[in-house]
Amino acid sequence: MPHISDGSLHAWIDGAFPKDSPEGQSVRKHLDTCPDCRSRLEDARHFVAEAGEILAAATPDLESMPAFEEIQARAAEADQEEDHGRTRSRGSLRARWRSFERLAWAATVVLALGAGWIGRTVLIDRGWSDPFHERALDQEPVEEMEAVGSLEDEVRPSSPPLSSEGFGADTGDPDRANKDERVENAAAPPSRRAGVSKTVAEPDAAGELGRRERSDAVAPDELELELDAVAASPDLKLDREARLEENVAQADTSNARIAAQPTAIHPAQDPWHQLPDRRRSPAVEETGTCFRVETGWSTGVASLPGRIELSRIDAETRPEDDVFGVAVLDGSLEAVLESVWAAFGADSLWVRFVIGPEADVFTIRAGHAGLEWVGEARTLSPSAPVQPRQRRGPVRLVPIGCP
Amino acid sequence: MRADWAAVYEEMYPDLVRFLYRYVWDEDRAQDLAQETFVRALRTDPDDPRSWLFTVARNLARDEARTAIRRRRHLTLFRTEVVDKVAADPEDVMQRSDREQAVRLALDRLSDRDREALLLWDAGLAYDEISAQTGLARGAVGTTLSRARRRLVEAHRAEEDRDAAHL
Repeated sequence: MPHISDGSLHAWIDGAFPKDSPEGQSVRKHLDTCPDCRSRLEDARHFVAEAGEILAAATPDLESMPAFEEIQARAAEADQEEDHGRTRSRGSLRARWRSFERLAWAATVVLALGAGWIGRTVLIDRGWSDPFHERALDQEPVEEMEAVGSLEDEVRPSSPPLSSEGFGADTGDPDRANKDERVENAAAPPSRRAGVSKTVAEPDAAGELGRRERSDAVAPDELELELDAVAASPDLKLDREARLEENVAQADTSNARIAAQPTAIHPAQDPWHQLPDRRRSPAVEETGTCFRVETGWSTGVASLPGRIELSRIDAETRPEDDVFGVAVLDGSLEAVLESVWAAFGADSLWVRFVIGPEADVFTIRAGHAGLEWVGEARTLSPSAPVQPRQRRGPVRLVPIGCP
Repeated sequence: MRADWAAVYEEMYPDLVRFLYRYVWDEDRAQDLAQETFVRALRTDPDDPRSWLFTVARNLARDEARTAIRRRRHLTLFRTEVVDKVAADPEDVMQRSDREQAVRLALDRLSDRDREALLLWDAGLAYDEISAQTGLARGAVGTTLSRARRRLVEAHRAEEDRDAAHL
């Protein structure tokens, strides 16, 4: 009789043969009479047990699971969203048609206005005088002067209308030049308007005339004066100083917290110190960054209190160096790269990761959001002899304060 | 509803998370995917809940892997905040991470089919269910599992030996 196959032995161990099934009875009979297969069965048992133990080492700690009602609620919500999506999809067709109609009307109006403007420009270029345009130019200064309070009546008693020689033509007429200046001034930024209006208002600075013009056009200068006066107010000054002191106090607190960071982690908390010396590579000190960086071939430690911000840029994006990072989400870590690892200490984050296959030099970009630290950590130089397995390198970042 | 989904959920949620965890290697993500699987199951109400759940979970895990690959091609920026959860002993966590890494590397040495059969068995599926899930003949499930176990054990031993050589 042939020996039992490995598959049948594993199926036997796994209880895959139904009780009293022909296959099960056949295996049992053979095992009773074949010492070789009994030995192989023992080997198979070891494999089954060892494989189970290996997998058990990679089992998540499922401390809690959401209530079934929560899952039901999510399913109901998804159903509702789907129904709503169908309705919205039908509604959106109508909305899209309405918006298309509006767009069509708007485009028609724009085209008509554009055609009219172009036609008018062409006609003016060919010598056609636009009575409406002339009238507008004539009326505009008058209206403006009425608003000013007939200021120009004193400065310049008469203001003849523009000739019909075209808008913007250089007639050599000083009145026309003044008028053009006012037209330009009306559309100019406030600072320019203020400067021009001030010169106009100066002759009557002490009088009632031109007061309205001054109140509008000279506003920036007066505003600055007012602001200076307000800033000099003791109450406001006190408030501002109080806020400043508060900010300084907060900054001091943050700095003190940083300054209190150990430049080295206690040996009892730091597996780095438990490593044999031969596994350490020379320390690399990165000046101009926030961290002193040490590298070696084992666990690395990064002490990054507070909020951290780490990023990773793919080598395709930034081929000169590879940036690695970790993200901390509700106490667990999302690996940006394979084998990114981190854990929280009492006041620090421990980080370890595997260097990419082509990266002898890599960068950790870490930011402390409060103070916006950014530090780059480089490990070994590209020329360092690194075996593939040894790329599983550590890095230790010790906060040394930011420049 | 054809099935008592509350009972199915209580019974299978941990198995599903364990199964997914060995694909995505992130507990929170595994839980998210498991919950998404159950949400879809409640909306679909399939005939065979166990088989359906693992089929959908496996597909979600594969999609997740593809997304992770795509994500690596772009700048990824994370803003994170310190959380209250503090590891009791970082060294313990680290050792655990080493063990998981070794398991992960060993599993990576298996073929897709061997790995899937092994993980389905470990998640509690019977031979018939593994056969239905993977398309293997029922008689081939034992053979596949025996090969997968042997390769897993050998790969894991090799990983440990390699680690020891670097100490």
